[in-house]
Amino acid sequence: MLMIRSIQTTAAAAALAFLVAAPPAFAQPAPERDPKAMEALSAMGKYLRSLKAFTLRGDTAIDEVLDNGQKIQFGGTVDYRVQQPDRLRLDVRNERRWRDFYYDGRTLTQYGPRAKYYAVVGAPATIAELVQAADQKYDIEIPLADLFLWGTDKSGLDDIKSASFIGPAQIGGKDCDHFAFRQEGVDWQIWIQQGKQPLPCKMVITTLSEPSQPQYSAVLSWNVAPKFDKSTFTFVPPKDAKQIPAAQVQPAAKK
Amino acid sequence: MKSFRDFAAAALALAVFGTGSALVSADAHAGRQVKNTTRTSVNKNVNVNKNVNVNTHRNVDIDVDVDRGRDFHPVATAAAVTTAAVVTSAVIGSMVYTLPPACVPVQIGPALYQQCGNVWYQPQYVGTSVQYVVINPPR
Repeated sequence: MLMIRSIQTTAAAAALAFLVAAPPAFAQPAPERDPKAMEALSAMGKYLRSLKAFTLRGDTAIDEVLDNGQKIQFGGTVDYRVQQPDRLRLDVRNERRWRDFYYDGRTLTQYGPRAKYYAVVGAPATIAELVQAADQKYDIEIPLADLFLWGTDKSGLDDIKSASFIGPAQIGGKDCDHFAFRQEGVDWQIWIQQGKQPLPCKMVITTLSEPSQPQYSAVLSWNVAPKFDKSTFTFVPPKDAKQIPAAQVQPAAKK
Repeated sequence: MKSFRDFAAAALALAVFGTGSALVSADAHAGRQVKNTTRTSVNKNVNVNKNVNVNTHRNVDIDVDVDRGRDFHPVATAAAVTTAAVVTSAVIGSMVYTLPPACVPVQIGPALYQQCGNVWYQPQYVGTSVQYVVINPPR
């Protein structure tokens, strides 16, 4: 009884404190698009576009949603090896699926190292075009494709409806700034390294179209002065690998 | 990443697991149906209304996924596998994520097929998923 009363008292006090303190804080909504956050994105995009080559390891977690709405998380990694404008190697590993992608400015090869199936399709001339074409033509969503679009005319910055600066944070030993954005279909957060190399330290993307709002997160570690072998971007099929077709996206039937 | 796709028979598998019934299970490894919605990039043209499902008729769901790439495997992997279900009713053009047991890979010219009894499948990538299209017997 005493405990209940105590909780009630505490609750009442908290409510009072809320009433006294809170209204001014909530009555003034934050600017819809904090210029500091938008400028940070622009600076990051500009810096990303200045990189001639990089490697990137992302430690990832993705929620998949079961039919009953339950979220299941799978961990994994993405390893990018990139030489602008037209060489890309991407190895995706998660608990369910392994895929390697090779792009050389002419073709995109997808290889499943466990199934040992590979498919080769024609590809556009740049990585920025590739990430969009892969999605639209072959339903291959290149993870973190934004990395190749920020700082271009496809940066999507105009789509952002809300932008805020959350605060500083340490990610993987680096000092980063934490920002949060909202736009149609997604809420997303990014941590951008402080200083002269404004690289993304981490990203979290929340999908809003699904009621349970599944998330994808990636903690990123960069090397902006990599050296590549010539073979990095060229797929040589293992002896027991088999080539199979890749289905093209069909235009959806009009409703 | 688009890791998961619908397929009808998962509902059957769930029903079987859910009731603990001794009914015929299509396969102990049959995946649960998973939605395919989590985005891995912000700038995605969500207005493009895509349909990669050449044929959504997927009533064959018997799992021998060499990649184990797509399915969410339930805990009950030791559940009874009683029969190979209805492969003979596979419809030409239909797609499945997993093959029936005891298929034989057959290379004819440049093309790779899987022959499972009298049903032939051609593997293909749909997005990043390997799917098997039921085809007319190539020989």
